[in-house]
Amino acid sequence: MQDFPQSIMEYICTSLMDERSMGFFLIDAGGKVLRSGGMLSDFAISPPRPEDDITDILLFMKGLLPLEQSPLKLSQIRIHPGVTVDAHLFQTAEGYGLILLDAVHQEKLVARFQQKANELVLLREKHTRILEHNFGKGFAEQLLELDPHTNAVKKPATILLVSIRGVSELAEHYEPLQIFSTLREYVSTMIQSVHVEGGIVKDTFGNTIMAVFGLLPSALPPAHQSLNAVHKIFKKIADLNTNRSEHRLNALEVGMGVASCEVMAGIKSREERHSLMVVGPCFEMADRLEKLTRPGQVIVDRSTFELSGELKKCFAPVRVRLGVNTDFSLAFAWEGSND
Amino acid sequence: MIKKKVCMLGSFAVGKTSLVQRFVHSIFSQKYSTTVGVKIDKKTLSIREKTMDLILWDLHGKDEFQEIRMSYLRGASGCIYVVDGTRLKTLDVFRELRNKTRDYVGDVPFVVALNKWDLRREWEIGSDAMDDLEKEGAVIIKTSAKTGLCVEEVFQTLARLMVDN
Repeated sequence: MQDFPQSIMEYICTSLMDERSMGFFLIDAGGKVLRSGGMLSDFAISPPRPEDDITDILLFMKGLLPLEQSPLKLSQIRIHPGVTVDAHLFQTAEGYGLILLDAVHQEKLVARFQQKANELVLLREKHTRILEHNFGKGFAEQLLELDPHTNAVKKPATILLVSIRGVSELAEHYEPLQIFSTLREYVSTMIQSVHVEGGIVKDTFGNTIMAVFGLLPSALPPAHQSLNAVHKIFKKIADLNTNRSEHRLNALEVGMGVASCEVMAGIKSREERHSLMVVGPCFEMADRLEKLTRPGQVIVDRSTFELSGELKKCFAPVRVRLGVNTDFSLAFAWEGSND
Repeated sequence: MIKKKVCMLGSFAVGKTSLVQRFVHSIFSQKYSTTVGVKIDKKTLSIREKTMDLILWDLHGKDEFQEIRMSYLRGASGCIYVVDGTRLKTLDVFRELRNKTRDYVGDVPFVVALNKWDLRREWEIGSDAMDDLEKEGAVIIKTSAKTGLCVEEVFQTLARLMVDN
């Protein structure tokens, strides 16, 4: 034991117990409870009777005794719905000591990140399957011309952010299942248009999709590809809205932001699993521009406009403020609903 | 009363929790909800006129960011490896976990649940891969936590193997 004075040890223990509920068991070598205490009721555990078998009180103790190595730490064990503990099992003079520490907060924190990460990996696997189904196995990575063993390459790219508007208003009149079904209809239309124009949908967040152009080879510059996708999205959504109006269903519009820059693209590789990583300043720019659009409008940055070829004629210059304390910048708007 | 510890193992999002929920509580949720750490559950079975408590350790799946913590496997009498039939990669994860488990707990009985049979049109695991698995000595059972197909059979089969072991 380190040379900690009693007062310091007491403070550490009090502080730990204030933060997390704690309970303990002292168990003999055969697994019978000798003594217990602490805040066991916080873990939905009734006070045990002397000689109770620990495996009857805590199911997870089955098979853990005798200990071969001490201590044994098992983290985030959900013992009942809403009750998660970290368990510390160690040898004592009488047999074993078992400490339970409340771990609900830690579980929730980890779950939030893990859920998002796993959902993104599943989405990426789905995209890879679609590409491989259409173009053959390994095609996605070949097209990206990226070596999983090198870090990353710089590529000119265009980012398209598409967001469905009016979802909150829709939520006031329809059941969640109907809203989900409506969103699915619009989002699949958007994703399809991106894929047709050679873009990759990098992320989807509820009513928004983020697509990257320029990673897959194309005869067209990425900016032009993205604007072709914008045109398709406007057209397909107009068709969808006509169809929905005929069935007396609410029609929704989208707002889009587009920005171009050089991005760093690479494949993060671990064993057989590869994931695409893309970073660059135009992600933030596309996001800000999208937030400034009206329904049925797309706003593009100057770089995208300069690279948009004959589609330049669709745009009118607009002055936009991209941040609270920033000057006005020049951007270009296209009223898709006027097409 | 016989008590046996059984570990559910596999890649993330293959349906380990869904199989346990279907088996123990007869419920199924379409929503994917990741498991953090491990969830403990219990189900009592009757095997060859003996009553057996299965203590189910529903472990978090192996993913890009975390390996399975082998200390969870201590004292396991059997394992159920869950593979998602629509994702071929999850079969590689099974093989990797099988080797690691064997090193840690020895040759305990196991069953492979090829899950998501309700999505069989999207399956990437074909009959050749299944034949290979059987040649490797695996008991494989096609399951669907969604419809309940063969879920009971997976746990009953493992329970029988553990009794005979």
